[in-house]
Amino acid sequence: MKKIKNKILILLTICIFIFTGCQQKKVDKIRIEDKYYDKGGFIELKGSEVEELINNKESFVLYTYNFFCNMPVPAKDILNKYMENNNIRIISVPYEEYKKLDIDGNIEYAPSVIIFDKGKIIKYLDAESNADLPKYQNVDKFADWLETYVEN
Amino acid sequence: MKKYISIILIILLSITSIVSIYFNVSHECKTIEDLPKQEKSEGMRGIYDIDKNINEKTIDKYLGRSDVVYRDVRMLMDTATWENKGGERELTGFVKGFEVVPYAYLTEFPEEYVQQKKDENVSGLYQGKTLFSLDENGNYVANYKESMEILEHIFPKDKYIFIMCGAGGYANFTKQMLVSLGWDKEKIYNVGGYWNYEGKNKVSTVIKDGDKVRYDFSKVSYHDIDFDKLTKVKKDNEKDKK
Repeated sequence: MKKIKNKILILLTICIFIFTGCQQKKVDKIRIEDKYYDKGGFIELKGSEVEELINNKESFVLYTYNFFCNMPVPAKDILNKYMENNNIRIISVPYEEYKKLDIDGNIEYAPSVIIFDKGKIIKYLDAESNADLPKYQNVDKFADWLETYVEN
Repeated sequence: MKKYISIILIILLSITSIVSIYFNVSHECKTIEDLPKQEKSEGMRGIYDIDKNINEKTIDKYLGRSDVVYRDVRMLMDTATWENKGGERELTGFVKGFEVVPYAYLTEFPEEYVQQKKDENVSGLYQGKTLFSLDENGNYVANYKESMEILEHIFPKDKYIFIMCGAGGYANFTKQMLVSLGWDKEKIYNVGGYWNYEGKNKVSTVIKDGDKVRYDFSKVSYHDIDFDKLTKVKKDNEKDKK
């Protein structure tokens, strides 16, 4: 009987460790600056203006893009639809301008959607990631991703 | 005694010669390393078929090879209003070793692409003379008798072909066209876009003169196509392009 009790205890202990270990760490959503919770639409900025936002430690969502190429469903269309539905504004800047900025953890390829929290990059979509590809091409998938990290 | 010394000397000389010949031959054989096999990038870059191993980040390792031709398929001065989308029309720079031949002169843009750009407020895409056109089935049709010969000269079939553009899109279009016309897909690498290149072989065409900016295209190795000297192929529903 004692042996059985010990075995149950050990099993329970293991289960508790697994359970707590497997639990996803709760992601704290950030709130971007109030001025960006407005009727939807891109705010086109130059690289120097984005640099100012970063230096001012602002929180915002940024879209950087190449101007030549397009996907079967342009990423810009997906973002436009999202912004329309959610009254949120996203800053946009051509990649040629963006890459001149001196930012830690900078993005290697465009297009990308980058979340800045107080001037620091916390998350971004990677143009070279299969996992991120659907988020560029589907509004719901983009929304799921963005709203994991940003209050809407 | 003298006889033995002579024999030893002859043997030593023979060995030295054999070893020397072996190293010379093996050095010549190994001068050009094999290129890595084509592997598509992941994500959106994979949609453009940009190569995972030979691209803007690694291209410096593969420049100057005798078994490769390097082609940049942008225009020197694009006709489209790219500035409406935050871009620029001029070829402001390129990777050393790449020769420019505009994709726009090779074939016409698909209608859906032209419309897509118009929706983005970009108009004026080149719609002048091209070596090839697309028929109603999406097949490439030569506009001139010399079209294929010119294409084969610019993109020789017995070499590897590295194609670059601004971001990888036009390079992808060019690769698709060549493969459709019979080129070996395995020999054509989309190496991505100049806008992602940060290597040591950048050549800028920009000259800043106070407030003025001008472009020195004499630095560019450019494949000009003189359409006026070519022999037009007569088609049933031919239309004159200007």
